[in-house]
Amino acid sequence: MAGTGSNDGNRSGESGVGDNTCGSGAMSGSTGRREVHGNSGGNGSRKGGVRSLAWLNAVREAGLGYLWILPALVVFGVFVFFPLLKAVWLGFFETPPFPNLPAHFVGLSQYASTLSSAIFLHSLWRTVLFVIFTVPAGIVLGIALATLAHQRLAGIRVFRTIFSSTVATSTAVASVIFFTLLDPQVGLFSYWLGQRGGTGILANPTLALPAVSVVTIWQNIGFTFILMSAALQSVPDDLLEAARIDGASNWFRFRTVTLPLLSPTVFFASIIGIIGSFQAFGQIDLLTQGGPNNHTLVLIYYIYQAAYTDSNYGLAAVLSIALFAILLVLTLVQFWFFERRVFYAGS
Amino acid sequence: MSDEPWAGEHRAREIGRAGWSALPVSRRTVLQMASLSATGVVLAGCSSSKAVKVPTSKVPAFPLGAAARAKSKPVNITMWQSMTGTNGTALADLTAKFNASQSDVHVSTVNQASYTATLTLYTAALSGGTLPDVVQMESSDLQLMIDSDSATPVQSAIDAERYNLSDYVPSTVDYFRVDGVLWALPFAISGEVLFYNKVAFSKAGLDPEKPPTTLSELRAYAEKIVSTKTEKYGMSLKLTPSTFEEWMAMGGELLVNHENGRSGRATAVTFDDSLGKSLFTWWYDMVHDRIAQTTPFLGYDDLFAIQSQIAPMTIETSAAIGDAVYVLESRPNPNLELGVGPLPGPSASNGGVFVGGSGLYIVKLRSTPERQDAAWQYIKFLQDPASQAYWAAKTGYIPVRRSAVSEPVLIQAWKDVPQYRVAYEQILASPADPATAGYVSGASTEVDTAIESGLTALSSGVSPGTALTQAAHTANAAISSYNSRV
Repeated sequence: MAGTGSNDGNRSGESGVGDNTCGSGAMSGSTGRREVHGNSGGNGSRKGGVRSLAWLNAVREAGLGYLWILPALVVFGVFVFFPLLKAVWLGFFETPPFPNLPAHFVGLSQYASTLSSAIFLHSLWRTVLFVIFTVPAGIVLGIALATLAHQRLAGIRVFRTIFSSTVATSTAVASVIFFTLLDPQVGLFSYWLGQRGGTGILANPTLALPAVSVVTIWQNIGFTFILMSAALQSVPDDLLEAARIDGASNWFRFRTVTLPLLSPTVFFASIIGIIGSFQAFGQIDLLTQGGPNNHTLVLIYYIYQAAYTDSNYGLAAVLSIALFAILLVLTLVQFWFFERRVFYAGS
Repeated sequence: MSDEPWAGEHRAREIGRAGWSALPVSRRTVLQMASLSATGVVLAGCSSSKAVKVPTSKVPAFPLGAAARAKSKPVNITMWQSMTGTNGTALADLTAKFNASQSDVHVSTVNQASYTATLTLYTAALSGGTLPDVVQMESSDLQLMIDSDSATPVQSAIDAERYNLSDYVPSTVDYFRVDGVLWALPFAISGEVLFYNKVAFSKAGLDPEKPPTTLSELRAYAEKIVSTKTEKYGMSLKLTPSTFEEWMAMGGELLVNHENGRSGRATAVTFDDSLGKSLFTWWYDMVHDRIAQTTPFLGYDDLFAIQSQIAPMTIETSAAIGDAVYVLESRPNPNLELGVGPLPGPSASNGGVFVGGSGLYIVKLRSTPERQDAAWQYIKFLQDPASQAYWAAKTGYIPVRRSAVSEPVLIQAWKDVPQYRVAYEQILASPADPATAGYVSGASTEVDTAIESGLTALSSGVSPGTALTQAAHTANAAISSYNSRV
């Protein structure tokens, strides 16, 4: 609450509106914030309006709103919510390997046994490790590259193009290239390292997940770079200028001015990154197929194996629901927790 | 990458995962399933009496000749296949030849890219989609096909027509027989063989015309290559379950119970016995004495290692010979000459090997008598000695007909690439018994993966006994899970 209030203060100060009344009184943090967004309309008049009229207006507006989202709701209902419920239902069945044979209803026991199984917990742990390996490093590298490419130098566009080029590379192509580079018999990496022969990095239980993570970071770097570059462009020069006049060093300016202004983008990139890492499939399938010995068996790949290798759709449904629940909780936590620490610049 | 056919991604995946990883599947379980579904009426009638033992009662009657009697001709049927590149072209040629040879049946083939994709799409289509009339399914999917209750065993057609199987290479058809019922006819068959570099053998003072035939010889050869510093490693050990499974078969041992799943549904693995342990120990010692390097299941790293002169021997599927020869010929190298020898086994008195590849099934689900008969006519055509000779000559797969080898086209092809012959002769020499028929289980993919994981664990220092026990444990859990679901 205190943080929100001070943010609001900053924002109004920056936009030059002096009559900010938000953050005071008994309003909740979220209400206060919403009103700040609608600041230009002047929030004093609504308080004194006729209550019933306001209520009627609200109903009308809400009805109109629902009407507008109805088409989308129908599409989502058919293609997202119905399959989701169907998947939950499928999880109650021990399914035969072929869909033309009858399934046995087992209730919640499949959920219980699957979610407590060693292989599921192992897979979850590998997924968490994968996220830890890929997301923070990807964001840090993206910011670093974007900062480097933000300089006003001759030919900097060449570097911007290079840094963002991985966004135009498909996962499949990148994976095949890295698969070849990492090959212990003929790959360039092993040649450079003077380590020809042997099992190779991708088949090494300790190194396989870090290797897949590096490939993933490489693939994602272009996207993160573009996000961070765009965010850097929107950092007002006058703020940096002012800081410089006040005698702030480069690093200090970056830490206290640039970084806070980047935080919404970092927040966005972290959500996208975590969800993306939880759903990373192509590179795993092409590089390691979950091996060696399940060391890269992230949840999504476990689901794939359950459904398409083992033809166990009930199990796959349980795992999918688990992944869905995890992502849902993570997203909510990120919104609730991180959003309060994110600085949104005024427009 | 681009000039290395070995590195071809889909190629590697197809061979690595599907082509050869698939092991023989036992058909025991099938009995109950087949009788339940296909001859449900018969069973119901017999349920109070003693068990039905007459094989003919287990297979449904076949509508032989229905295609020729069809009201509107030709009968149009579809085949799903998984052949790519040259193999796909050869199959297209044969299909065109079949379509032109008669007017009753017209076949369209649909390429599904890989055995794995075919199984996935086929499974999905069972619940209401469009099914093919003929499906080429990876050999190890046999039990799945039986359990799916969607195919007519080719045994029905064979019985109806009194079709003669005596010209077939026995172990190619034995693989697809469960409890006396033949479910599919073999197609695109390959076998595991020893690949080696003859030049490296000469340099190490080994006779390039005498490849090792037993595992102890294999080790001695590898030691010699390392001790003479000819190459860094004596051989590559590909982390594929099929080599271990072949060795078990050669030692006359079963991989799963109930005669490799062929006299009843397999309920547990049996590979964790003394032979299994000695094989795991042999592997462990090879790796830890630094005589052999392990290479991944995926891809052709072991062949790369021969080419880049890191390790001059490996065990690979004969389906890779064509690519290997092609690469060597496209970039001649005085230090490389590809030799192919029979698969070395656990002892001098080796039993036989089982085959890898695929089977052709007649689909019955949502089909008609005309289309089933049309499917049979087409399958039969593909199995003709002339077709098989053409097929083997163009692809390097093993002909499943013995008379095919005296067709001029195949004589010429084997003269050009004599290495192809090795796998054929090895399979031809295999005695007929449950061990060399290979194992069948609906959970074969998981069983294979469990063995692969066991072998992988050996590299990390896990003891052979522990790794084998763990592999058996994982495999048994997968088999139980599968059996409880069907």
